[in-house]
Amino acid sequence: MRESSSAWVRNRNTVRHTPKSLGQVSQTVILAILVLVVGLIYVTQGTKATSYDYELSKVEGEISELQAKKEDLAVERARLTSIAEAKSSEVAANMETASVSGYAE
Amino acid sequence: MRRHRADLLIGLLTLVLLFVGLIVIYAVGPTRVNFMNVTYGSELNENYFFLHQGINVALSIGAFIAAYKFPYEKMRKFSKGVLILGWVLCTGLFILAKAGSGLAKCELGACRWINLGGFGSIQPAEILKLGLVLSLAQLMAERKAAGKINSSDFWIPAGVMSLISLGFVVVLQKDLGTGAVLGAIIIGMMFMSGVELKRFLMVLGGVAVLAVLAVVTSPHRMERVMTFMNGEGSDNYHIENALIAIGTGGLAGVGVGNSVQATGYLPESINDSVFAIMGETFGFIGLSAVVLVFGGLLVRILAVGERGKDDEQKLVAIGVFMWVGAQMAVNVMAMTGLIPLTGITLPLLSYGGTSMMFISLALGIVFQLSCYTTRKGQVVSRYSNRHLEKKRI
Amino acid sequence: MVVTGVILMRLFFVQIVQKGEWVAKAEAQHTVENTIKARRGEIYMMDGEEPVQVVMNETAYNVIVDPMILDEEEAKKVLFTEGLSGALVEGAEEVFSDRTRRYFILAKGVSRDEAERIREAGLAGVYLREVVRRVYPEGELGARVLGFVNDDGEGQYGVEGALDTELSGKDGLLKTVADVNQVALSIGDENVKIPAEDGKDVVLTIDRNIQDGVERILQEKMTEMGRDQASAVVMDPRNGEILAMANLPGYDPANYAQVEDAAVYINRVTEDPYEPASVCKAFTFAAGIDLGVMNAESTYYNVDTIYIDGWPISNASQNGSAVRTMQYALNWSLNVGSIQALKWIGGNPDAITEEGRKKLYDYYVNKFGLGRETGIELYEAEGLIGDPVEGDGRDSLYANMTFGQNMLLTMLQVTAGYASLINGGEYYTPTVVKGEMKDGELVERGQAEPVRRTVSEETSRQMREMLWGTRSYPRLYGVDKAGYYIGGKTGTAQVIRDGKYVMDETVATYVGFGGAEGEESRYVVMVRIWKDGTMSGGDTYALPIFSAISDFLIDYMEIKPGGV
Repeated sequence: MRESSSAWVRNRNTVRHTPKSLGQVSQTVILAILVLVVGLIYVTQGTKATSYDYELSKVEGEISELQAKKEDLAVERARLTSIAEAKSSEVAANMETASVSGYAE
Repeated sequence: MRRHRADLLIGLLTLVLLFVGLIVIYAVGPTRVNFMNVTYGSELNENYFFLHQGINVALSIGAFIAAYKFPYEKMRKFSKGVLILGWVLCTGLFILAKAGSGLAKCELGACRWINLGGFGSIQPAEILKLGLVLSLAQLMAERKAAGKINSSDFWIPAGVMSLISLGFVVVLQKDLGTGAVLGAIIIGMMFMSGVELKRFLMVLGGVAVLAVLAVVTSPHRMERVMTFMNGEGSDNYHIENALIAIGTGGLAGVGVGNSVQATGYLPESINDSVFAIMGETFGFIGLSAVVLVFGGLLVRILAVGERGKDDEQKLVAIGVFMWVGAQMAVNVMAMTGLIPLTGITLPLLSYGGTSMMFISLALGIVFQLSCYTTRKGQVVSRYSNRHLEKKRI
Repeated sequence: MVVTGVILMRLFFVQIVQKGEWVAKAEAQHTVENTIKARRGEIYMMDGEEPVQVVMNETAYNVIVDPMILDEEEAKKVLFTEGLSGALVEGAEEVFSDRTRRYFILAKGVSRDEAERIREAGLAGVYLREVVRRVYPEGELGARVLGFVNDDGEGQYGVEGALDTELSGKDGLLKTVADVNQVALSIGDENVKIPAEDGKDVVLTIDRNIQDGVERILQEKMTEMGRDQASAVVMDPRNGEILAMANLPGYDPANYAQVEDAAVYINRVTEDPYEPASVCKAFTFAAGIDLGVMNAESTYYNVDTIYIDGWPISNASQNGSAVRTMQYALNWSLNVGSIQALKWIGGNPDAITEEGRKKLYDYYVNKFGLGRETGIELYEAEGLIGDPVEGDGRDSLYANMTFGQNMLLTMLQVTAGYASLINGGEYYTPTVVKGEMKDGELVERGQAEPVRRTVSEETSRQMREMLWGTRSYPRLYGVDKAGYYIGGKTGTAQVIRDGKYVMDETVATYVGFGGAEGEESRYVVMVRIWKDGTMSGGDTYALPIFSAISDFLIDYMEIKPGGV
């Protein structure tokens, strides 16, 4: 660093001769940063993140997955409550056949 | 030699390009992240690329300032060291790759990066470029001063330096793109070094023969060239999609966030192909602006090359000029379908650390050298005038 | 500088001059256009008051392979397993015999669990394609009335076929910009999404318990009686709702392609007109009563055989020549008796007249709805009834028609007509659709209204008595439990083959109604049973089946005895 500061010392003359030069360096940097900031603002304004699309697609995928699972469960339920199933169940086997005579009171 | 204020345009345009790159990554990064998360199941944050690029840009600005501040007279002592470091790293990379080590990062059979664990990876070829620019400039200037520029005292060491460097990049790393940039650097510096035209043409012829040999001896490269000619294959898919991106942009572009090509159609959308995505997003106006900014930057670098303090500094600037210029031209021309795909980044704009940092470093050096330019060159230069320049800024 | 210039020119060329071309390429690449499949409506039957699903949807997968890149070893491990054996197509092992094929459907209807297992194995060259298929929790129950859905997703036969439009809904359309993985993107302003309109969930009037009971009884009796074809329909005479519509043999709609004879797809109740024979005497008698030309006690001189247009017509039961009442004629199913009714209708007790034929035609076709579509929501055949005036031998034709021969009717036409005879004379269009399910609730169609009057209330009352009398006549079996008012009539039809009546085959039919004594009837049941090449009499084959169904219905519907 000493080298560079000595260079700076040597350079001081230049600085004195052109009093605005420091300002010009700053201006340059400010200009560049301005480009960055304006650019970022512009880009932010325009960003319609496709994230929502992916989120949507993911959620839609999950919905259809759940839908399919729900359907599977509904089918399973229907199978379990079907007549054929009811007949082969133990409860059904132990039931007595209802008969009309039951109403003759 | 009295030091004067540096050519602020070089700094400004470098910063502008770095920032434009950052803005583009900010705009396209989330799309890329989404695509990667969906395709590869990764769980990257939406601003992953932007944040990383931010760090890269900060480091690059650091490199630029450091190179500007660190006096060239001291720096030049390390020139050979840098070149040799580049060679060592290239050798190391080659050995690591042969040993199948995870430290060597390979893509499609070409091992061009050294893994640094959590710190990303570095590409030794970048160090090589820097080393070669500095060393060649030094060698040329010394031999010229000694009046030996056309003797074997110059030709042998220069030839050895160049051939070893090219050998690493083209043969071991199978990286013809970087090889082309290296070649451009060598030829450019050679041309400006004051060698006899006859000899220069011989070198040019020799490089051309080598280039053809490099292509013909490698089936992989041959195939690339053939597919480029025939218009098919995966490279052509890449080029075709780059052209679709650029062409779709039209005059003013489709606007930020509306790039469809970035959603997975165009490979390397934020790296090598970022130019195409910029074309889609910002259109002809945006791309022209970028090309013109590059042009302006190159013109300023060239001015340093013309009016530099001494031959060595002039040659360094010419080397950097060729480096940035060739890399930009090779990338952009590949993206626009003018030459075959080579797989190199767009200087300062592409996502990725090593390339950006080393180019910033090189530009920082030129920035420093611009403090020592002489007025003699004014006669030659139509493009630059320090008085005009002051008013402009 | 030169390079920069070249680049700028190139950019200008690509972005400005060629823009249209690249935009077109981009659109071709970015746009996906998919139909959004509408979900096919499910089919419900009733379970008492509750609708229950009998036809549902299930997501399954077809396994498609690319033999060129499929690894044989791995494929054997993952695809030729126990769990998949049922789904593999015929000749699946042949997949490796021709490696040049790029597309081979290896298995169909693979369950989600199995599909998940295959997906996780991550084999190259194996693709899963989602398909929605129909599942039938009740198995073969009501297969011939429900129909099935073919591989193209089209409803075939039965409810699936006839109500295909309502069930299938309307496919939607998705046309959008998409990323390389076909994820729809909200980029651009030409994206179109027309959502699918899902098909309606149709609730049938059919009660699955009645359907099951009737099918079970038919099956038992068929086996017992050595017959191989039987159909039955149960209708609520109060509103025209079909409570069961059974055809045996059935088939498994989940494997509909495996049937040997496509005839099992036919719903004979509505699609197969035949000659129902003597059950039609009730229609003739009702016409006579309604016109005031006869009643149960009217008498005529019965002979065993009469000649009309030179053709002999005999009674099946040769009771000899005597004066008989019409009730007796119905009890013994005397053809000469029903011909007598036609004579009276025509105003000449000794001969069939054109006026009689016209009037009978009017009752048969315009009132009872015979020989024409009933308007039920299913596919149905019209049948055939000869013109009363045009053509030769009209008298003999109409004489035969009085006892249900020489004309073709569907069981449903007869059942709906009978319902009007015994419900007070009101004709309800038979229906199998109760309504639809919306958000888990049954939304019923409006209350069924009678479409026309067939006979007067008084005629209906008399017909109930006559049919009750016939069933109760202790000629054969006619004893029902006390407290129930059950009537009916047999039919034994001769069969025409190659344009001639054959002597070795008859079809047995019975139509009856039932309910508590002193209350309105709750059901009309029609039964038909036969076997090619055998004689099946209405009294010995169809009647016992009716009796069994009637008993079952009384139990199931919990009809308490009346009039005690």
